[in-house]
Amino acid sequence: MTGVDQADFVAAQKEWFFKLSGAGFATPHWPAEWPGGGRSLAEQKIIYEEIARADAPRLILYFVSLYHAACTIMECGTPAQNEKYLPKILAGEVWCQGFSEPNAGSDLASLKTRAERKSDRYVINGQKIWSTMGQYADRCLLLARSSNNGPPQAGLTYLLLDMKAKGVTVRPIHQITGDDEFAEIFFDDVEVPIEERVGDEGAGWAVAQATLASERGLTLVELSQRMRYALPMLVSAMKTSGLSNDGALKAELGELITRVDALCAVADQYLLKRISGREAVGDASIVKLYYSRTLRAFTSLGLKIGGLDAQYLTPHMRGATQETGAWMLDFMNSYNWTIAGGSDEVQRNIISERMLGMQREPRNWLVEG
Amino acid sequence: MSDELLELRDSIRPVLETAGPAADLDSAWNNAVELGWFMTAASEDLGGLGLGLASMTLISTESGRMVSRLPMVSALTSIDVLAHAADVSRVEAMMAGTLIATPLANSAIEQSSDTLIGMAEALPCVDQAEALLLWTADHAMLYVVPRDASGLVLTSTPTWDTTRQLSKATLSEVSLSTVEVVAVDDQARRLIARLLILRDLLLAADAIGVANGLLETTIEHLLVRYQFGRPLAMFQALKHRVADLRTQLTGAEALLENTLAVIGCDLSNAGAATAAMKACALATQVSSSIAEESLQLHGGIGMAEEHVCHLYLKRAMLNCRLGRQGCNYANDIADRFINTCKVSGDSRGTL
Repeated sequence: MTGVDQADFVAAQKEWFFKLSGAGFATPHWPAEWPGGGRSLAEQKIIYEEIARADAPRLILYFVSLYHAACTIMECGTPAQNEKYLPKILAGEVWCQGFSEPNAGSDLASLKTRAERKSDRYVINGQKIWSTMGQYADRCLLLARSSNNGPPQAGLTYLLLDMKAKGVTVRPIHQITGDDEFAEIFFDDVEVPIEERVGDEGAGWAVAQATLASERGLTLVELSQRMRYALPMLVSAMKTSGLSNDGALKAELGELITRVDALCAVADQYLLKRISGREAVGDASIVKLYYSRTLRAFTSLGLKIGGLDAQYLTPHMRGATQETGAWMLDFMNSYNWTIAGGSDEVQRNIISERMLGMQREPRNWLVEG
Repeated sequence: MSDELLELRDSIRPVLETAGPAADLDSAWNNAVELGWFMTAASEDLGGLGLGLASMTLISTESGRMVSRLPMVSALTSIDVLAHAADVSRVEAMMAGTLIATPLANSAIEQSSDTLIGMAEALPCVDQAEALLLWTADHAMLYVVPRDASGLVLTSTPTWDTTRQLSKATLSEVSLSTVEVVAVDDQARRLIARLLILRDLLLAADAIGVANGLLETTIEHLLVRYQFGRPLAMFQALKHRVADLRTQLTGAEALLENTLAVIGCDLSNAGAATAAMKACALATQVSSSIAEESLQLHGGIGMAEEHVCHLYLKRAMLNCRLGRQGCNYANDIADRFINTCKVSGDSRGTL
């Protein structure tokens, strides 16, 4: 069950992408020589706040191409790669990310998809998972293992892979919400020319860090503002359910309102730190964790207020926001943020170990006996 | 934080740290006067530092961090309010160390013809105070009541938090001729509104200081305490709780900082009262969560009086009950928000 037909979803995303890029607001983070580019981080923040205020759709179909792909290519790619791909991205090419694997989630560096060098090309074999919008993608940012020597991070190579190439199979993942925003990708002797490599062979881990850092805190500014603008939905839901005078719910609402304000403040200040170059280790983890926990609190309260009504299926629009008012859907979707992009548990490790200096757990685990 | 504020913090922190947690009040008071900490609450033309609200919250935070006995919330609030009432000579005296205590909870005074009756709660350090800054329940009158005024009875009841000495003031037939009227009607309402907002912000700052001081102590304990052959800090079950607490505390800090930035110096700003309530509610709640968890994370030693943990715990718990409406902040915040939604009649984007 998806709320809207998939073709409608793609069409709506495409239309919104061209509207935004036509108005010069789809690529504010690109350098000034590109259309819509050259905006300061402060200006980008305003653009995202306005998008949130208007409750405009999130460009989830294009997020990887506009941010992850473009920023990685601009930062680490060759001039030829820049010339070849950036215009295509501007023209609406869809990209996906091929990082996670069934056995490499939180422990990403342990990934096993092989990139075997054969003269002027790499031959790819393996499987990726949780690739957002993978079924619609033209190209894939692939992180694969080119060597088993040294620490796990050392043997990784970063490639730009054509999703139409021979040997690529994509299978959408049907989620518990009825949506399928993610896909599995299978590689069976897929050939990637050597000129599609980003960075040196074995330097893929560093390139992947550039990919992950590309959105620079703006997404969480946008999402925090969206949550703030969505707070009145809880008030109208209380009214609909006849619970407007429920003291316990009101207290919970008051706490949540305060927390959402704090979330916006945390996201704002994180961005300010980035702008002024004062970002410290762990700051990004705190914003992400604060957002994910607050979203869980928001959607849990919605679910509570929604009562039995929220248990009936209602049509919904994919990709609109995290807060649709279909409370059971929103509640389930909130786990996207506590699990994906570095789970809460991984963020807690980063905060406690790298920010607060608490000792790491021993790396090796031996089976006794 | 601006360079000026960082400099101020770097001058305050070592003084409080050298004296240690919950250090002796008299010497702390002398330090505060000599180093000009009370001057943060007045503008430059009144002889103050003119560094704004942020410098006052900074002092309150540092004082909370060392569970200082200095009644900073009350003292700074009084100075600021009397400065805004243009009471120049009082402000000068207060910057030089005279304390006019203002309650950390309700002031419910009534004026009937030429006498004052009623009570005020949670007045700190009345033994050191020359007078009290009190107001009527309807916010129409603001007074300075001398401590020795006839008909004023101060009852000190020990609290679990030993870093604060709180008294209750009972006024029975205090003659109007013995008190000074600071402001009446609109001016009084403006000043009292300012007082309540400022008190919320300073309480929030104290709570944030308490939380930081205790969390640092707790992490230190987890780093050095070994059990099962490894430091406690290595156990995920413990370090993840600390990470959550640190995250919550960052939220409370960011909210206070943003609130100060939004309010600026204009406490008459329409949203200032609600914003201050939110900052206070969140900071005191987070601080009490950190206190609760920290006692557990300390294990047995946290239950021993010789350890500082309990000083922080008790102060954090008391802080939650100070301010405007005790525990009802969350409901008030919700009510205010619900009213805003009603006015705009829109289901989204009504903030």
